[in-house]
Amino acid sequence: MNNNQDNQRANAYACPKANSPAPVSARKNRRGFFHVCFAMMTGIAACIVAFPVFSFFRLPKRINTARKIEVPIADLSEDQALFFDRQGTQIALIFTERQPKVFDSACTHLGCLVKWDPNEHIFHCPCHGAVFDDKGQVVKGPTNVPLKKISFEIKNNVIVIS
Amino acid sequence: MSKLIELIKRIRKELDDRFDLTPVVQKNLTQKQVPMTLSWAGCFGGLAFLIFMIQVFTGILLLMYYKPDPERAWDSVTFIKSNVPMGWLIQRVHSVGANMMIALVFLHMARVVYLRIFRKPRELHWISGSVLLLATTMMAFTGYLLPWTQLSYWGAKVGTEIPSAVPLLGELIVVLIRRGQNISGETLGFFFAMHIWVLPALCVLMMVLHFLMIRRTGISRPL
Repeated sequence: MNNNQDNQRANAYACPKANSPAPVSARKNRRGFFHVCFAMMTGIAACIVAFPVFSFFRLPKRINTARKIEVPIADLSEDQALFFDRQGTQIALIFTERQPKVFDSACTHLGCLVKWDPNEHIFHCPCHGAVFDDKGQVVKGPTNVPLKKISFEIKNNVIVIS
Repeated sequence: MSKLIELIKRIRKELDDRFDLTPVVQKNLTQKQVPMTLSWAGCFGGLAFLIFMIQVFTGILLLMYYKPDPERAWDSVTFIKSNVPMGWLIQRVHSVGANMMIALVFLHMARVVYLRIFRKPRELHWISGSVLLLATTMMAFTGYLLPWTQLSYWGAKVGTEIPSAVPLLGELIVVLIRRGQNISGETLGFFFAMHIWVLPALCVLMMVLHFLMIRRTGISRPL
């Protein structure tokens, strides 16, 4: 007898009213109130999780901060060219006639990266053969726009490109 | 707001017209019926599964910056902890989650042993669960080496020493899991592959079997 009762208890399911029809206006009774509370708590929890996850996709500090490029003039030799990455754009530093000059090394025709020829003092574009002189002016080629100059300053004999 | 609710209701209606989803969701999720005698201790397995999902998610996030290379592993973890926005939180959740998951898996197992749920017809639940326990501890062990700190290096050194007690084959097993005589870059690569692909895939396979079998036999009830 006792065993039979236990069996009945074990076979009973929680939430007996689960299949009863939903009330017309769910907000006006206790169940509706708990539904709203539950939805709000879920929303708050979702925000708490979403905030760090979305923050994680922001750029890390190292990539975000501008890095200065510093080159001591003493390290440069005549007719030498150096190429740097300046936050995604490639720049070229050349040292001719004892003067440093800095250009955006993208060719003004279609954006290929130009090469420096130290013997002839020219920038040569490998894609369509444009040629620029050591002041960035067009010598020859499919473009008539000079290379873009990049501003720099010299502090204590060090070239600083910010 | 009310327009949004209208839109959701409409999408739900259109889906129901085609797939009749609402009864399926109600039966399996929102109005799922469980035995009245089930105690809160029955949640341990489900909570372990929840933490597994969190581990997969945070693991994918960490993978965007982690480098499995002895030269850069420690630097990349430090970078995640100090430079990536909220990286410290994601990294900490992943490392604490591993401990929590092992604790929950053991609690789940303790309940199953104490209530003798492993008996017929649930023997295979127990066996798949044992494989899951092994896979979970292995994931924790392989993950411990990845930050490449002194602690993780010596932890891996001691841990991989254990199979040397196996008669005859012991030394061979140690060399095979270390990918060499010592803990090196090859060990790191091997542990990394195990940690992010092989063991999670094994876990998912075993979990699918585990859950399908529970659905088939039903939740255990006391006598």
